[in-house]
Amino acid sequence: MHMADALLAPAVAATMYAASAVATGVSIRELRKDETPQKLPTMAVMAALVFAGQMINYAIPGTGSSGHLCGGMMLTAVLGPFAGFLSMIVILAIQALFFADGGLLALGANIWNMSFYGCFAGYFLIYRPILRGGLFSGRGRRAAVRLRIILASVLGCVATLQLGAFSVVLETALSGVTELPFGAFVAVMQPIHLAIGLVEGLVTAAVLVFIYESRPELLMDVDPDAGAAGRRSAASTLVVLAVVVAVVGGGFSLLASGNPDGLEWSMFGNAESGYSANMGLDEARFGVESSAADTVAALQEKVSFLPDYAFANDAENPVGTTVSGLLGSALVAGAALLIAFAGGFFRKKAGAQKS
Amino acid sequence: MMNQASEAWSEFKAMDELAGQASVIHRLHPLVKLLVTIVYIAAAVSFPKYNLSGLLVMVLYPVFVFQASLIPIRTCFRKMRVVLPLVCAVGLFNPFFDRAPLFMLGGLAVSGGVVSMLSLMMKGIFSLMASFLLIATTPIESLCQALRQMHVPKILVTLLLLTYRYISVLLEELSVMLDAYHLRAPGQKGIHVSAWGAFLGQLLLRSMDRASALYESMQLRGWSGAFYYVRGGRLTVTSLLYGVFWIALFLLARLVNLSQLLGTLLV
Amino acid sequence: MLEFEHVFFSYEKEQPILTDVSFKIAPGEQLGLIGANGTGKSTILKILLGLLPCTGGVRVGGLPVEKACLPQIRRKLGYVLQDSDNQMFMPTVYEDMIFAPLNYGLSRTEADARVDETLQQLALTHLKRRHNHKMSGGEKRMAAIATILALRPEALLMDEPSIALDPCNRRRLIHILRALPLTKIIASHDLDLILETCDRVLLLSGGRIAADGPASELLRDRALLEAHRLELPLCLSGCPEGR
Repeated sequence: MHMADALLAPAVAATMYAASAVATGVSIRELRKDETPQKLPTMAVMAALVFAGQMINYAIPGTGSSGHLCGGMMLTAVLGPFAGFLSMIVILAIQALFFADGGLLALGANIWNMSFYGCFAGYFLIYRPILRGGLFSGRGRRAAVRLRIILASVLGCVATLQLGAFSVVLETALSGVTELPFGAFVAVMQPIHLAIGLVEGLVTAAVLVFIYESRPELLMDVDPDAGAAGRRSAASTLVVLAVVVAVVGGGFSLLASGNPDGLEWSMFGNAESGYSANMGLDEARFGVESSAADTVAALQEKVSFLPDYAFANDAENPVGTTVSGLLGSALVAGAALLIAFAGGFFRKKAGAQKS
Repeated sequence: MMNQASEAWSEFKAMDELAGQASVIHRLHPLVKLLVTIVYIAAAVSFPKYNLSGLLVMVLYPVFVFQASLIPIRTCFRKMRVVLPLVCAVGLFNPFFDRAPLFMLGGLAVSGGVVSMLSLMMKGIFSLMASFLLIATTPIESLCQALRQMHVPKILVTLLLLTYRYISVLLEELSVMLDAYHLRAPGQKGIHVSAWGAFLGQLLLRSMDRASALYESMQLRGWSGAFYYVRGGRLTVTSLLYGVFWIALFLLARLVNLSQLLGTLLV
Repeated sequence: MLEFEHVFFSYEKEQPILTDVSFKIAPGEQLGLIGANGTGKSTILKILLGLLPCTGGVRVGGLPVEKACLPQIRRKLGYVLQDSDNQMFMPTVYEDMIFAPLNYGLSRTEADARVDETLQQLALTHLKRRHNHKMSGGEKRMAAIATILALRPEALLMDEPSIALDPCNRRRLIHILRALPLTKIIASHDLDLILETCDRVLLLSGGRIAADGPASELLRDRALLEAHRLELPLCLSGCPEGR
């Protein structure tokens, strides 16, 4: 769910940068309290691992499609929220710079949407309460911890991705770049991210359980004696569950209300496929595109691409400015071409010198 | 066929290769390039949605840098496949929702939605090109230096430098693992659900060992938490002029519709 | 210069890695550490560097390996890791090479001079500006050695230095090692390399020292080597191309 530079107004981008900067400042201060130097190599290698791990295709059973990992929750479970947050920032920065995933201006927003929720909201509100809570304690210690890890990972990923997706919509809407009704946008984003969050959660759970089986000391909060806050009751864990359900449920109720006549909904068939590619879902096999293809034909009949008034009155139309605007634009384009040609000349020269 | 990890790895190497060249642009001070890029993107995306002709002036910067740095333009277009779909998806709806005509072209009215869609796409392409050009002409060490000069916290910059270094190591390792997996599991599209945890988990455990070896190696060489960066060249007059020129032009273009002005002078 | 006195070490109580290991190395001595997998070769190196805690007396240059003395001790020892990628964490060779000298308080000009001097000495000047992730395995190993030598250590500790090197690079490594007048400890399964670069050999087996003697004698003792899951070096086992 990488935001692009073009979708953000500078004011929104700056606000998100400021919010992320505060979270970064707090993280750095918290990290300084314990031994940073020792943790730095681990943070770097883990960040690199998650970055590489995003390249893995996970086959989703029974669908023929595959999903990817984003990794915020996994980093947090291994490094803790503060170190995890900083590592995630670095991953997002490298994606934005080297892979054109996101953008320089949108980095602040992306940090907020993908790292803040995953590392802080996910950890403090979901992961830690569940792992330190008393759920499943009737099943023996190892089995209980295993189940708690799975529950915490799935809930954490689903809830934080819902929050992130909602933020994307909010930021885009506040930036005023799209004419799309807010509700329609939400109605598309939230369900897509429910699916993405489930896959993310299950992969995260699988990896964390594997680590718990082989080297439990690497994970946060799996040792009940180590937690300073101590054990919590099953009741408080249930409160967490209620919060998660409320977040996800809220997304769905918005979906329902944001879908008044089904028009926008069907139109989004198109956007979904493009968007899910951006999200790292293999849309071709996710069952999204097929519905999109069906709706496109119907859509073309329903919606005219041309303006409402094909021949508008000249009086309400500042033709004069338009002409000079067009002419000027042509000149600028000409200048750009000239630079391009001049450059081509230099390139040839450089090439000739080399050979 | 290459797996995704080795594809990413070769993309990484290609960027590194570009950044290692020695053109006029490569020699500029990294901080100047970073600032110019940031101002450029902020200026470009802040154009009003109907101001297509004003926005067009911004094309001059990427075209100039592409030519002056001898970076092949097609390498940049390949990168756009990731983020452009989202921008286009969002923009594509504007013509449907905003159908009030904005101006006449020939006998045809052009609606506000069409114009805002085009300007959104242009913004997307421009901002992408600008950050691509920054990275393609600035090695990571120089970029880290610029970030430090912008007072980005030391721990983040150090982390960026170290992560960058280990991404290449881990991508290589992962690519070997993926090949090994698929050689033993022909016809599988992705990692089977039974191996979801173990596949990445194994790599994670090994990476933890690598991290402790790395920490040892840093300790043994007297590391105490500080990092030293190569200090690139000083801020030259050329770099300064370059920065001032472009930033002034961006601001001017943002305030005055230069295309319009140029046209008015001629009509 | 290096001293082990009744050293015991284990990760878990039941499985001792080192049991009562004692030896001394004089300045300038070149020691080969040999033994099958898991006999504690790397452990000995790590204990010397103060990376693992142990019981018994370990001294480097007269100083006990304890927390207070670690900076001084590590200043004297150069450790070349088995995996060069773990050693070279900066973007370029040059930056890796100035890392340690700068940490030990040299000025930038002094450190720069060290780097150039070391690279010239090893005939590796062409690697100075190279990126660590764009070098071949052989280049990486050579650069890693240069990184360590830029520290001007008194003793060189190497873990499997010839692993993954092609014959030509391995030969270069041997030449470099023979030309360096430092105290050296080389842990390796490459017995030919040990034979060519070391004058004394310590054979480890089951966490104890099974034999300690001149390389030329010990590495010719077929019965001893085979009893400890090793073989004669190729050049001594009648290999036609051997020396």
